[in-house]
Amino acid sequence: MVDYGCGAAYSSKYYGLNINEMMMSEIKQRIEQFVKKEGRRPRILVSNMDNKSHDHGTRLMAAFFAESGFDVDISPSHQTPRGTARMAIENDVHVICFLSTENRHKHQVSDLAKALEAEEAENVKIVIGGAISRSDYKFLNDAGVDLILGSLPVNRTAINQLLNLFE
Amino acid sequence: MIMEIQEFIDGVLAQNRRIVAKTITLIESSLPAHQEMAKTIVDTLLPYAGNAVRIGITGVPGVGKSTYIESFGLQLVEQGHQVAVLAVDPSSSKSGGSIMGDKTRMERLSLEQRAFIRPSPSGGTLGGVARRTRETIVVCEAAGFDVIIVETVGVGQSETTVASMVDFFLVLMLAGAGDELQGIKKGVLELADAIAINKADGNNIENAARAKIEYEKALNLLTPSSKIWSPPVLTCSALTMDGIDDIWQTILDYKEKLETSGELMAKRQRQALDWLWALVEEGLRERFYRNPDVKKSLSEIVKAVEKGETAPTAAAQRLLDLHDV
Repeated sequence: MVDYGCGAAYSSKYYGLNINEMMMSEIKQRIEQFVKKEGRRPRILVSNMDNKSHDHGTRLMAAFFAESGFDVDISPSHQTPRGTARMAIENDVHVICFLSTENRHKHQVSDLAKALEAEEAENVKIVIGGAISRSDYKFLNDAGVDLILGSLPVNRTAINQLLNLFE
Repeated sequence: MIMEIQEFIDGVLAQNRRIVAKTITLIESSLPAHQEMAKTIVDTLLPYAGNAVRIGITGVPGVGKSTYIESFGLQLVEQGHQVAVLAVDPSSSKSGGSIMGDKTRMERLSLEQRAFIRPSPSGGTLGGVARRTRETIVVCEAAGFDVIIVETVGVGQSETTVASMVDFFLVLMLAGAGDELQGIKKGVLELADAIAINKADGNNIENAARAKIEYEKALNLLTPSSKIWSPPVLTCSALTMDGIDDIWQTILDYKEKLETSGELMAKRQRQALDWLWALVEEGLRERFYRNPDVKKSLSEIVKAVEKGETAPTAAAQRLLDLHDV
């Protein structure tokens, strides 16, 4: 179980993430290698730029990342792209990850990428999850998204692609 | 992207948020090369530091630390202060990972131009946290922050560590139903420069007033650590903002009194020595584990102790002797 800091404890085990013990140990191993090389854990900001409180999926992602050995920052809910960029810079995270639940992801990504660039932090990677139509993929990639996770649960390929971002 | 030492120094002094953040990362890194760089940077920045009010804030989980810091910080920012908040979050000993959700409760402060909030994972070692936080304070002060708030989880040893690096140590408490003093460690009260009973709002105002009297009685039994300061008990509400300014005034009053009497100077000198010895101890520990002879025999000796073949005392002696030669 992971204590969230926002009042509730969650464990990814309870959410049927498509991950077995073997995959988990694979992930952990890669993370330990990263720590040896970089001197710190991969740090990821789980953000939410929609107009509602952190949903189930956001909490699930955060719990999963922490359990696999990431350092996870959680942004306040309904954060603006600028606020997200600022938090990413201040906490010096490697990756920003957020779920799209209101189909505003095109705007969110463009604004986020611009905000990062304005602070010379374009090296912070952007990962987006959620129900995203295939036809948006090109736009999102061009706008600065490094990885589109698609809907949860995530699979092995997606996790490995995510870990590749840190290398 | 490799940055030069000078870039870090210039960036911090120019109050560049991104570079302040990067410098803190460098300080927190476990790589010896990063630590070398961090040492040089902190050493260069030291003359620019020392001008902030350093405040430590602790309290048990649920006391409302983050919400309190949000209200307190916002008020300071409004008065024109530059506020840095350093929060240490415990890492999971199982996965090594951590969840840092403090900012979820510092929604407004985290967006303020004059605020900087940096949560840090504890990384499992308390000693490491102490060194890193001290160095981070120097960086924040050099970057122009004039109020530094160090937030610590109210469990275990961390309070003593944080109290040894701040000017003023504030302990947040909750009013209960008359059993206030149960479960409160005397050690924590001894560290407090003030106690604030949070959530003194609505139906809880009377409870808070009663708790205040209880705590005052308890503090009276302790010998104050300063000749001219006896820790007051205050009530406040991070929700209604009642009493928040009183706490800031108390801190200013404390600072002025101790500055005039020279106690603040003495306190900081003492803390510099604490810092020195903490570094020496950390260095000794590191050298011990890096010693090739120790590395070679460690697992064997550990096993012998586990199996009961060697007494821990004898084993410890053997390990220490190995390091000696």
